[in-house]
Amino acid sequence: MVKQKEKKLRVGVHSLTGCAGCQLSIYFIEDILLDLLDKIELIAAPMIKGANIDGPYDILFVEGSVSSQGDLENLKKWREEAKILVSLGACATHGCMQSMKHMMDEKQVEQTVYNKFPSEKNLQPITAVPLHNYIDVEFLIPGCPPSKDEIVQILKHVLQGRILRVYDKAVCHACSLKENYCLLDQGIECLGPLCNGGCQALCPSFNHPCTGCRGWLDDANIGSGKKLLEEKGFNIDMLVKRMTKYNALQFLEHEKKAKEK
Amino acid sequence: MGKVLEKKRLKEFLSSVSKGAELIAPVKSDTLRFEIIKDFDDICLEGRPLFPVKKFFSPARHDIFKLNLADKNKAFEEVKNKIKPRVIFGGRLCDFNGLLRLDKLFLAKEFQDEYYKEAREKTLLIGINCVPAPSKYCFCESMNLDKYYDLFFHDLGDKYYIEAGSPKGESLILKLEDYDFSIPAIKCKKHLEKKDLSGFYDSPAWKDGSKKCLNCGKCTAHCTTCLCFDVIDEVDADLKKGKRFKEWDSCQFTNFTQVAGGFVFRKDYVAKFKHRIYHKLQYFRERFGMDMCTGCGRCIESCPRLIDFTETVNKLK
Repeated sequence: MVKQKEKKLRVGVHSLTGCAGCQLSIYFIEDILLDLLDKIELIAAPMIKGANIDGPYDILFVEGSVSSQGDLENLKKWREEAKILVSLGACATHGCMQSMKHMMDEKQVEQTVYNKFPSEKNLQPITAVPLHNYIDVEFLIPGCPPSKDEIVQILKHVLQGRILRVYDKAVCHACSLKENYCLLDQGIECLGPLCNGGCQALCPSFNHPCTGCRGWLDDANIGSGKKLLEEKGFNIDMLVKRMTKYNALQFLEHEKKAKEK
Repeated sequence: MGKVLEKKRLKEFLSSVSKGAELIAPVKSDTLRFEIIKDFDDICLEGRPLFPVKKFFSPARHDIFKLNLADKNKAFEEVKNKIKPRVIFGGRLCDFNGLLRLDKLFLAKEFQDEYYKEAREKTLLIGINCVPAPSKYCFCESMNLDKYYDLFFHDLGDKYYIEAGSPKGESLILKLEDYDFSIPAIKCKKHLEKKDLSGFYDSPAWKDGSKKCLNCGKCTAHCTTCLCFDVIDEVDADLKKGKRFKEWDSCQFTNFTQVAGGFVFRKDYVAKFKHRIYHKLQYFRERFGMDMCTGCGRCIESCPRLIDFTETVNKLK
């Protein structure tokens, strides 16, 4: 009797506005990817495949933020085609650097950036936001770049029919578990206590301060964070810039709420 | 009456008591940590490490089971511990009292933790007295700590006065010279007013730190007696082999109290803060007749905003 071939999971990856580094992170799991390839089929992976099939997808990773009219149209189409849609990387989950324009005059920024090098493509920029501002997403993998471990985890969980838990602990947790000498105690302006961990405190472990590429904690106390950094004598203007590098939208939301109070 | 040891003979003494065992002591590299000693000269007894000794009894992350889902009869296989005998030198009274408290939980008859048990049995505890208190955040003087150790050192300038706290400890110093001395109690700047907290649950004082708390969980990670953990299953890419492991968790994170349906019953700062302090100073005492807190002050010192629960508790009237 011929054993019936198991149906493979149809996996795709697509890009919106971003550097495409997240897509690269998927290919970085090559050591595990080979083991997974008898269970999944990469039907759309524009960076490594010539022939990419349109959906439907069992699981679709989307990187980049929604920053143009074209992005929005694509995203809506992909949403229809995907059973599970995963926001991959800081742009898709938090808006990342593109959303820095919220801190400035958006129109002026768009004119400077998009009109400088005229293109045949009419990019039609719109306000830069994460995917879930427009569509429902099943899971978020934050980070710049996203952790390849988490990409593997989500694939394995979907294959097993399990739900992956959201990691909600601050960067300080993993950093303390590793017994790292706290950068804040060394006079280095680390944003660890405000930011989502799940990265094994990678940067602070190499004496590089956390800059929040995985976004701020849902219950981040940004007011207290600013006080802390001020008390430590850090330049607060510089820190606001750092705090808005990946998370301008979260920052503005906090400032708005603080004003309302 | 105790014994006395010339400081210049310390190395010799430590190498003889730690023969065939790992010697663990505070080591200063970028900061002070309890580490397995490679060179006796690395030992640093000035100050106390901000990271407690609990990791040697229940590591921050360690495997409990190996999984093999392909083998239905043997899907789970317990991971056998390989704990070497060891000697902890330079722990403080608060550190070792912390173990005494953790024993109540991890050596309880009905829920014995194998790793913890083995680690406890294989570890000799040699403490050192705190003169002066190593941190301005210490308040162990308020906590009525037990004289819990195998051996306890007190610095007398060019020599150590040594007292035994167990028959095992006693046997190790038999050959040393007798010395008449009594170890002075530790003096701390900070003070905690001990009180029955049961009537203060709704006091507005608990809100004190709410504007400051960053929800970062450093207080519990650095606590001498916080050992709450999460259990996580992970499979390999073949979806058959894998492992179940333990990782330290914290009541200060939202997911900690998440139940089915996504409901979280301790969400805001006050609820989480109160839970932590009531556990240390009330619930544990109700069950085991002692405070869980040992007054090491690590939760205060490690807090980025230096939130000090002793101030809150002292305020309650």
